[in-house]
Amino acid sequence: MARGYPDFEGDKQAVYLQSEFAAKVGTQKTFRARGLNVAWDEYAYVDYAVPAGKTLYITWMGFEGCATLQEDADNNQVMGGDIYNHTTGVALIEQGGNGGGGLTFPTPPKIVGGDTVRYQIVPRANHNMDVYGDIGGYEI
Amino acid sequence: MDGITMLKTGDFNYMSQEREADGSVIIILAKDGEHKVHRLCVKDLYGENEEVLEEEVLDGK
Repeated sequence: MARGYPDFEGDKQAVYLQSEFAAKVGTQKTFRARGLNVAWDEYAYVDYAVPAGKTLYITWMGFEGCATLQEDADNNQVMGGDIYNHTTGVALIEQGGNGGGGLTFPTPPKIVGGDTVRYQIVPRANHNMDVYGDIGGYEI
Repeated sequence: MDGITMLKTGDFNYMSQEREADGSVIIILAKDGEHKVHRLCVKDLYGENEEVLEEEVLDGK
């Protein structure tokens, strides 16, 4: 290093989005709810209680569903994916779609330590469905 | 570390849940860099009577 100058050549530095950085340091998280043969207005869900001292930031969601029986395969596969703070009862995101859907969140909803996040997938079709839903983000 | 401890401390990167007819939940937990998966069956998850009914560790290698 030349006198009085930082050694930029020797140090590697970069700027990342928090969500990108999370994957590099292992704090990224993905949660999946899975339900087979789920009836109208019933739901599949995943619960996670965020540990004390940590905060979960949710950066994306997705869901997919199809008819359980082949005879319903050509019908509309209407369904919803809803993210709740299950501790407070506050609905954070509610998204609907026909056969599936997905969103990313420029401003991530967050769940603070001690609260439970619930992601539930709800069939809204007039037949039973196999449903899958994922949310992801990072916890720091 | 057992699976329920991983869940409660957040020491995982992937979790899947599927409800069973009896109300219990099948939980799959995995952590990046570890080539194994924890599969638990838990009754009354996060409830007062929470109980791990069974757990197995599946080697992914």
